[in-house]
Amino acid sequence: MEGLEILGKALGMGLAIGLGAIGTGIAQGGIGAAAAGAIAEKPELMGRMLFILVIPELLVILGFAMALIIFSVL
Amino acid sequence: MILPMTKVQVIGDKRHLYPTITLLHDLGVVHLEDAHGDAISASPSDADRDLTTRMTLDSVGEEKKRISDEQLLRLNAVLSGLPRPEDDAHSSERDRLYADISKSDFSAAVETSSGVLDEIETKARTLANERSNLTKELASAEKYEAILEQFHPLLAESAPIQGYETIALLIDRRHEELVALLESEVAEVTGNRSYVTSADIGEDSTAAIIMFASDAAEAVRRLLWEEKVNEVRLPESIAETPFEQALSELHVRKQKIPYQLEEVEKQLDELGSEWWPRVRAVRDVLLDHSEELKRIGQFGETDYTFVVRGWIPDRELDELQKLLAKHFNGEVMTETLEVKELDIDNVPVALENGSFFKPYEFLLSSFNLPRYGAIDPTIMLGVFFLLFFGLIVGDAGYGIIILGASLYLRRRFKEIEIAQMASGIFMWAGVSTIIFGIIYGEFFGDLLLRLHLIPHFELFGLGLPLERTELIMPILIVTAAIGAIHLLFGLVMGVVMGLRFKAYKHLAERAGMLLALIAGALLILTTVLGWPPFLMTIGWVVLALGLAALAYSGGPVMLIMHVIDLIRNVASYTRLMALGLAGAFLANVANELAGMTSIAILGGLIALSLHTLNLVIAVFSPALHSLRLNFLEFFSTFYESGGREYKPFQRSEKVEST
Repeated sequence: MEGLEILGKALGMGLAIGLGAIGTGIAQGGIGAAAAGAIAEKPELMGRMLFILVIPELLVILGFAMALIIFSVL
Repeated sequence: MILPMTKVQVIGDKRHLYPTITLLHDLGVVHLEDAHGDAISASPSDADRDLTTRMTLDSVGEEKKRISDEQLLRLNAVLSGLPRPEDDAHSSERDRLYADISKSDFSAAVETSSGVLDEIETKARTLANERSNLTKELASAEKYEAILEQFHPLLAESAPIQGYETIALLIDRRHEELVALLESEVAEVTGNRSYVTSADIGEDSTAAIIMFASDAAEAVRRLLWEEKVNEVRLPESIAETPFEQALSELHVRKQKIPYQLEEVEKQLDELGSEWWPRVRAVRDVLLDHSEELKRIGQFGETDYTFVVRGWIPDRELDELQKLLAKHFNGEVMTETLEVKELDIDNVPVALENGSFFKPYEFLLSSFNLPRYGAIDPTIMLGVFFLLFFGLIVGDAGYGIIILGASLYLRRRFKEIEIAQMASGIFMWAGVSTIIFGIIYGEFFGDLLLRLHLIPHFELFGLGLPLERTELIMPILIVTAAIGAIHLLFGLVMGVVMGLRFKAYKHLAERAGMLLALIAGALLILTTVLGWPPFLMTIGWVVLALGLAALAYSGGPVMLIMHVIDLIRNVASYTRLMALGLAGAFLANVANELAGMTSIAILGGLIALSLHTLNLVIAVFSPALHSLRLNFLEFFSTFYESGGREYKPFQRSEKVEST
């Protein structure tokens, strides 16, 4: 494999995970702040808030899946 | 499954009111509702049939309530001061006594209670007071000792003189100039028959001692009060003694109190060990009586009858009728009421799926109970949760640890419900993890594969172990397929629900998504596997039907949303692959790093810490994501929530754990 090709794959994989993680981070930041406030008022919401908090993880997970696809297919 | 409920009305001769309440309480299966005319909002369909008024307590009831409240107040006071013995023997003793006392009637219970109170109330109160006084005294002795010790250097200069009094002051360092001011003013009011000495103490206060002629005491105190200077006052017991003596007395008290406290606590422990089960049992019985009296406000009455209304699981109805017939000879009757359309949302929901699925019922009720008449997804939740968890973690080594830890928790915290629930879930999640670990050939990552300890073999035409780190694309496809099947399953149930509740928009939406999903799968499979082209045509037709149904349910904008939703939901299941691979890679990295170091201990430590980290992530994250796939993606296809919790009117048999 040529050096340039490896570089491209590596960059692509890194971007897929990295940008996904940034997106997830931004979304979870907002949700986390709101959830912390809500839980302070009503501790029984803890469970439900935990679920809402993991919703944006889809982004980084799809990024990771994409990186793996680049790794194994391209 | 959701227990089928019957709406039941119990009507009887008022003379049998209290025995009937006790009988219902003993039976413990009726979820009581308001049964009088004021309760229209709770049960809309009964509005037309109510000739009854809200029942109020008669004089006998009022008297019972007064007595039980009074006794409960005293029993609770005794109980709060009485240490609870920690061993099981005392708990079972309480259970035995509770069963004994609750067999007898109210007046016998009150008699027992009075007897118990006569025996120990004074003693318990005295001991508890003594304990609290000693604790307070100890605290104050420590505080004053510290203050007096600060005055110690000054006291040497101001030995007591006949006809003179001393006052000690503690002044904030910021107001230090006050000392000089006081000195001159005190000299003025006493006619120069005074002496003031001061010294700095610690970081921020100044101590001062004023000696003055006793006959000017009143004037000096008034002056201090006017100047708002606080005198250091000693505890009353030593207020009259001179400082030097007071200090030594405080020393002595501080030495002695802990022994006295120990003695009092020993006596309290003995008292608790002897009496706690009996006090607790009689308290609980009276609490039951008080609860029964409180419920009377929910009943309805006419001049000669009482009316009780509530929900009862179908299978318990016979038992209730038999018991009433046996005890009251037909003078208390039951009647089953028709459940009208309006009432459906009021039917309490009780889940029953056997002990294996009990923890999942708990999870479900913390999320949202299903609506009465809807599908109870507990069993599906349990099965898919275990499947997904194993699929993600898939490591025999981690599985063994999870299983072992759960078994330990289960034995260690028998009394704590939440520990039992969690271990009930994770025990089997551990087993599922071990099974998938065997399929993947993973034991703490690729440890065994690295050491060539796993034979490659074939099972049902499948080459095992399936090394998932080498099979990224196939596993990605399999997980998306699992998602499609899971959602398909949910959508079929969603269609059934739509039919059952006659919610046609919902029905169209779910049927549309179902058809679109089938069509999508068909089109992809036909293209990839080269199936005959007529299947392709069928696929397009089904897709068109599905989209039409979606457009009918919510218009063109929602049509696009639904299609995106569907694709996103299927894609969401690829997390089963992604999370699993991330864990597997981390485990492999741990082994790799350990192998790279030449020092065996260092390598072992690196591997141990990375595997521990991975294991912690492996318990938390996959559990959350497996639940999420169920609660969000799967439930959105069919789940009807909003049930009311079934809370039967029952006795508090067991002692709650501390």
